[in-house]
Amino acid sequence: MDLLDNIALGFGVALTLQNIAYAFVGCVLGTLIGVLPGIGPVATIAMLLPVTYALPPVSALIMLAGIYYGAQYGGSTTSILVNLPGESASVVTCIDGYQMARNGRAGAALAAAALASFLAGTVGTLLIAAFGPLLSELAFTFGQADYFALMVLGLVCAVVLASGSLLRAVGMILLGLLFGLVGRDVNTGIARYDLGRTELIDGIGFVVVALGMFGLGEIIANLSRREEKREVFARRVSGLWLTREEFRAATPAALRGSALGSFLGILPGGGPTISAFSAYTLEKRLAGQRGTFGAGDIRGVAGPEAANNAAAQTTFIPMLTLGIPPNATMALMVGALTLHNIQPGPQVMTQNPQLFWGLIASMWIGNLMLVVLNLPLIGLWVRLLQVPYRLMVPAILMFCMIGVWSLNGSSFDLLLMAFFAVLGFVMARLGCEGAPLLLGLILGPMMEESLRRALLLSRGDWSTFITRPISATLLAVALALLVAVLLPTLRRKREEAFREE
Amino acid sequence: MRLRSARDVAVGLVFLGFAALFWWFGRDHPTGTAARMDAGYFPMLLSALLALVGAACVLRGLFAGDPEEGRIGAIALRPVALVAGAVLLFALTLDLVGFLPAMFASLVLVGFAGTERRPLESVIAAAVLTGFGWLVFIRLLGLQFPMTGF
Repeated sequence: MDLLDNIALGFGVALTLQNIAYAFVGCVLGTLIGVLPGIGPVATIAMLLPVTYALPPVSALIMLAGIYYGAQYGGSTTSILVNLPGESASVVTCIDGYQMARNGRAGAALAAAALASFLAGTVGTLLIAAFGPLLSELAFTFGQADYFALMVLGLVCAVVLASGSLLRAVGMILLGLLFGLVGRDVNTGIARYDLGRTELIDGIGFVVVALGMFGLGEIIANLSRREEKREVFARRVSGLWLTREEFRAATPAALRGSALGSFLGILPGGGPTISAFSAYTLEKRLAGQRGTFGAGDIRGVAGPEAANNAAAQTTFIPMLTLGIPPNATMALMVGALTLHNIQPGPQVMTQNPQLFWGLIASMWIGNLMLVVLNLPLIGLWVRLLQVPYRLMVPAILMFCMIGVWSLNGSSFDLLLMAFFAVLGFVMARLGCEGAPLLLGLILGPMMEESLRRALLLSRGDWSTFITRPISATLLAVALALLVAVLLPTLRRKREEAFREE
Repeated sequence: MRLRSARDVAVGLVFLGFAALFWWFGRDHPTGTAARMDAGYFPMLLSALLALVGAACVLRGLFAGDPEEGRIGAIALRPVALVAGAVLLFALTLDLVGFLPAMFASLVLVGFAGTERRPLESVIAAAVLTGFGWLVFIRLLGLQFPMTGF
């Protein structure tokens, strides 16, 4: 069978000593930053991108992916033990996980989180293997107008799923798209917005923006708050196993979480955080009066933890098959591929099958490693939390500066990073998230290119976007989503959903 | 007149400002037509959209908006200035004095960005990290940095 051949090929790539080692490094780093609040996967991946330049593309991607899903595991550990989410996707795990720890069931909560994540990781990996090829075949039938419509849909989804004001998120996307256009226009060769600096002719590097807004911007935001004392609740965790009742409650919740997370991960704009929140809400609704949510219900740990991990896996699907990043982390992955001269898109699967299948196989291996890594090493991760934030600040700063400088060896990039750090902080204080801007930055040139080609083919006739069936459908969905969110009743629901955060 | 949402007004002004900047610096690029787009077409389209969104934000901030969410609150200038300043310091001194002193000075400076400041600890941490960075990134990974000034 084709699928089995492909999976065998993938394991052949992923099981080489070198790639196992990179997956391991990625998972360890991911767990580490997942545990540590104040630094997330976006900033870490951006910092390490320049370092991965020397690696073969498969190994680079395997390591970066490990960081991403490893962070989902690490985040749950601190949520449960310290009531402190290391990652935004683990915020809901705090609610019931920490209560379980207070009830003396910390071990069970940790085991449930790890096993649910592993189950979800397996489901997610299988889904990519099953649907990836189908979707990429579909993608080959896409014309330029369809691609443009798809990107519009992706951006609309990103706006709808972002917390806070729609208008501001749209503005951030437009701003990102504009920043993405800085540099030489590929079609005409005209250098745009270079302000007379040769450094800007190649465009604004997304690593520079990501490190500025997410790496340094976060530092500034955290330093502006008072350092909180972190109470480590359970220094020693015993009883890592679930009781029969807990097992019976957690398994279906983890399965539901995996399904929901996989689905929300594929959607453009989706991702781990929104999946975890949705899964928690779902579990709470299903349990009704019988649940003990908020007082240590194991379903409130298993469901969201499965969902965020499943979503972390399936967000790779649109990136790998369509070449369109659904969120900021995937935007960085697109950048990683482009750094290695691989154009993301449906042709990746046919032209670089080792890359595609190797990455997928490594995700499953990585998930297995994470279970092994997390359960026995919990004590170590918890001890890490005692590192005060003021010592992490210079470390993060150093990694950001070295990462940016090593891109082009240019001091100008450092100045640009400082600019985006200030911009990111100011916009965050004004209630604007940075992720839509980063997404726009990556999509800017792609959107211009497909718009240009689509209109060239239609001789300037804009109706091409509504006469082609695929494009028309995608745009209709985008419009429907926007209208739905703007309707008063749904709007209130959405605000409620985000208030629960 | 009281603002309904200071945040919305501020965000709107930022968007309008950037729209104006992108319009101004892109004003010389030929736009072409939809069928034959030139370098200026898409940027102008986006600038116009951004200006619209910015204007809508300002209007919402003036007349609608959520006053509770809309408060901006005090902004601590110290962390912003010192984190950005540390990057500038490194960027501007790297070529003059080389990696080790530039990184060390920059990391010491950022040690004063928080509310809790311990000068001795900052200096030690900066020295250890600079050494670590040199060992890992320059010696082991072989990244190219200027090591001595001119």
